[in-house]
Amino acid sequence: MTEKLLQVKNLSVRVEEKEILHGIHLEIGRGETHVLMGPNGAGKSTLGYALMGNPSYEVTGGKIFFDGKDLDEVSVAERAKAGLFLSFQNPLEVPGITLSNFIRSALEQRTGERIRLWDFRKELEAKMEVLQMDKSYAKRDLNVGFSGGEKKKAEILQLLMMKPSLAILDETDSGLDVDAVRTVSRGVEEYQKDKDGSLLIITHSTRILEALHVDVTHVMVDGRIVAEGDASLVDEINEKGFEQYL
Amino acid sequence: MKEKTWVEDVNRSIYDIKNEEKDVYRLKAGLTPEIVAQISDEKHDPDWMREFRQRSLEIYNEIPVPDWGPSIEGLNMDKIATYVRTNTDMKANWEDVPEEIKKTFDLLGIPQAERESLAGVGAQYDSELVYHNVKKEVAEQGVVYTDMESALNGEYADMVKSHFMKLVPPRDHKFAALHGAVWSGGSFVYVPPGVKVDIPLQSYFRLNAPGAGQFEHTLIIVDEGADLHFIEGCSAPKYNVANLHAGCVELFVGKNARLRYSTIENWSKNMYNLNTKRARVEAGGKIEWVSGSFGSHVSYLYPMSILNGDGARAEFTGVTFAGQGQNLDTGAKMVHNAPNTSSYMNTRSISKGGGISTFRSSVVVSPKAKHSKSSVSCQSLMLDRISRSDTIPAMDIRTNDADIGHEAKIGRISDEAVFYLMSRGLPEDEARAMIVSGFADNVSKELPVEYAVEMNNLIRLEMKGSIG
Amino acid sequence: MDMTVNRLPAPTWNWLRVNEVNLRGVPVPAESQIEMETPDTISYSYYNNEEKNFPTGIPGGVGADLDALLASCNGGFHSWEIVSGRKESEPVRLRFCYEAGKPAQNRIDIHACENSEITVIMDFRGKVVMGSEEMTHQNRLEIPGDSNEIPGEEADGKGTDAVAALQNDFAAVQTKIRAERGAKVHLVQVQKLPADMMFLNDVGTSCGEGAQVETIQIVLGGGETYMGMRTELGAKASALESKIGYLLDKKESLDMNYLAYHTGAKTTSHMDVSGVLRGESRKLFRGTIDFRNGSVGAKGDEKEDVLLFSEGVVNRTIPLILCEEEDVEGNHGATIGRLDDALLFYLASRGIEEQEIYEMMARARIDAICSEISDEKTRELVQGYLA
Repeated sequence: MTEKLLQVKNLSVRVEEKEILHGIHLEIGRGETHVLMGPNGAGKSTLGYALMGNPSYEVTGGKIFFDGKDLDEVSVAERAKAGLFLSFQNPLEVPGITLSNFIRSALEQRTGERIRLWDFRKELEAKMEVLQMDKSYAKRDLNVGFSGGEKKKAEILQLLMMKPSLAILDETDSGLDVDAVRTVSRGVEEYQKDKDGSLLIITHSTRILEALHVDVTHVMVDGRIVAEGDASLVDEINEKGFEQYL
Repeated sequence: MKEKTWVEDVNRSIYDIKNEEKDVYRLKAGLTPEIVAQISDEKHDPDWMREFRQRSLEIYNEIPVPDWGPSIEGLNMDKIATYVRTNTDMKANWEDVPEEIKKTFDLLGIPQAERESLAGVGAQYDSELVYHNVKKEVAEQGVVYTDMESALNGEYADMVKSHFMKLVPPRDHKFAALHGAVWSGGSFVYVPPGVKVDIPLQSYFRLNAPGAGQFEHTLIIVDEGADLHFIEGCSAPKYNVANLHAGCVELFVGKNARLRYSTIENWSKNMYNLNTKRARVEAGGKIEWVSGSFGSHVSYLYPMSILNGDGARAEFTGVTFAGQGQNLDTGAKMVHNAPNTSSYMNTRSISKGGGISTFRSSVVVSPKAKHSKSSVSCQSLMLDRISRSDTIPAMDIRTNDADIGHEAKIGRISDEAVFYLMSRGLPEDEARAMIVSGFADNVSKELPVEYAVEMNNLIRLEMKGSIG
Repeated sequence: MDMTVNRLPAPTWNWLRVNEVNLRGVPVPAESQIEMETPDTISYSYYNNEEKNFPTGIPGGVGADLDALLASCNGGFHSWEIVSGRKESEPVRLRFCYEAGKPAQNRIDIHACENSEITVIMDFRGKVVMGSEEMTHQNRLEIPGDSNEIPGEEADGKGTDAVAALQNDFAAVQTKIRAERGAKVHLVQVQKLPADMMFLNDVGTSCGEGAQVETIQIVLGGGETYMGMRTELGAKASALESKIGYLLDKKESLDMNYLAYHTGAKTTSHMDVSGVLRGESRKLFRGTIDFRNGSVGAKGDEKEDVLLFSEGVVNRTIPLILCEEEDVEGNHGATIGRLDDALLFYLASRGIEEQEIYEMMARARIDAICSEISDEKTRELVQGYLA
């Protein structure tokens, strides 16, 4: 059996003295798409932050292996360089750094090489077209004054440009209208195709999943995984909600 | 409506009771080494204190008056009597306090408050304490609550000596030096390690004599892990001559100890209130200041918190209401001098009827104070265009590992808010008073309920003063 | 000559040493050459002392002592005027190249007649890149240590920092702006001066009804810089928009005194200061919004954002709001210290190391201000300095 891309073993996480996650197990193989569902406050975003290494989220037990490597003591930036990507639920505004410059310097940081401006621009514009983003956004300061939908698209644009091996999408569909969800999910599809990328989609609704192929569904309640299944679990929750797990 | 009338009538008369000076011992006005020596004689000072007073007097003569705050030109030190004492000793039994003084404090609600909600009470009348008592249960926990003079000569003499004016040295400023020379009365509190005093202690200061000064010294030591709430109240009747209050409060908060120091100050409007308050907080300890400034003609009042130990914390919550003829310069100072310290300042000031209120603050973060946090929020309300409101904060940050936030706002009562309340049937003055009380609720929320009521009554009184 | 500069409009505790600065032994500077480009639509004149008076009636922020110093130099002043109704987008460009050993001064008068629009760009630089000797300045505030070392209030005398000026590397510039009714004036200043230079930069402005003054000042180098700006918003609906960005390093020091003086109804002022301190650099920002009687409906805003990079920095901020009018709105906000944890995490999650995030954010602060400059050449100049 080939080694899984992500292995989460018995992970417990504490935020400000309070344990939020209690012994999570999760495995994601290369090219697989997993969905993490659950009611508000279940701890889904906490898992995303913990995987990415947010220092405010303290791992109190268990291990995270990514690409066979123990992530304990690995900094946030190193995790990103290793191929982990988190799309934020509420992306921060960064005045003074344009979206385009930001992506470029993030890419350069990762490879340690300068990127040819021409190639970069061409690729960026192509991806922006997929996401139906106006080109002018490239020159605007990162997330500053972006609407909710534009911020989410900017996150997916970064995902497409950085080509991680595992992308965690934290509530990327929340607060978006139907058209925007469709556009965003087209972007996600593009990522799936592009490089055999793995996905962990955190959501408490199912709208973004309609157009995507799903391999495994996990249901989280109160900081524990309470159910697992294939794509059909999504439909079941779609119909019946989370009540049966509460 | 009835209740309102009651508040106005009774309250004003309460604070304005003037007792005739009889059977009193009053030192000649003015300040000379001889007068200071006489105070020492009167009080049977130990030798070190005699010297301390004389040295302070020298410093007083060297230091200029402050050149940055409200004018104190109306204050002529040659006309202020520094020591006034009624011919009565301190009593531990309320019934023994002279009738007239008792009546005054009764009307101010002091013994009643003690019966109901206090662990101990001290009452100072002019220069000396006339009453001091502490609940038996509290005394049995080892809590010491006594007047400064007894402390100076009693069992805790060494502790007093090693702390007295160490936090506020006479050299600090002119009125600290004056205090060092002529201080009289005040309270000494010691809370032993680990002792938690559940109900507050209170001192009440009343200055009755016209043209006199009150210079009480409050020294509180809260030992490791102990917990105390201390309440201070001040008032005086209005005279046409200037009175001076130059008290000094020194608070020592031990490791992991907590001290809350609440003040409702309602000096009469001929008072120069040049008071100095300072706390030093050791590791893990916390000082909480709650401060309402309503009275006095001129105030200089900026309690300082020195966060000297790892993780020490300070909070300052204050409200200042400057009405006609008042120039109230108030605020707080925070000094971060150890890692992981945090300070929080939240103040409101209100100006009305030509009154001047100034919020003045400083936050100093030394290079030692790694990983410190400070947050200041000050809001000012202008109630008319003949008043004045200034905001003068300062920040001096000398470490990169700090998180400092500051927010200041100035504005007026929104017409919509007044209109909204009026649409619900409130008369305009009542609506405005209610909004102002709400504006000051940062402080009233922190006070024991009976004090919060008193404070809101004071606000309503001030509000009605000019509208009605 | 000794002079007192950057006096705080309402003094505070002397022990903080922020009330004013005393400069000792300031050399008498001589008028220096300016390289200039003036669009045809704008008239330029040079007046010597006899011909016309410099408009000293408009006070600046540095203070009257600077007026006196420059008046004593016996030099003239440069004056640019744009006639009523004309709007010129092409800027007046002024380049000041200071030479070592030559104390320099210049006085500039900008007059925008009714409903005109003018842009003036000033570029301050050193002729030769010096930087051999850095100025030394002392940290005078005694930080309270133990209980016996608490900052006193009065005992230690006047709250002033006395600084000795170097005899040689000194320059002073004074700019007076008269914005008549409905006029719009843009002033852009970019400063990159040697580390051993003392520089005084003073701006005084008066505004007619509905006039708008926008200033952008970027400080990227200079041993010891004193900047002052006073804007008189005396006429109805006049407006000030002032942006300052700075990057200080080593032992550089920047001392500022900004005053928005509101006397007219519905006047507005915004002051936006953002910068980065690294090395052992020092910054003091005094920003005052003064609402005087008559400024009914006025609004004033001050915002400060300081990023502290290294341990030896000293950041001081004194934001005053003085108010004697009821119907006004004044706000001040400051954030000082490290980068926000949430922001650090967001940027790190894209694979950028903390050190690089700080570098990026330092540049970003200046970039954000720089992008507001309409003139591309100037933007490029700043970008060049940052690279």
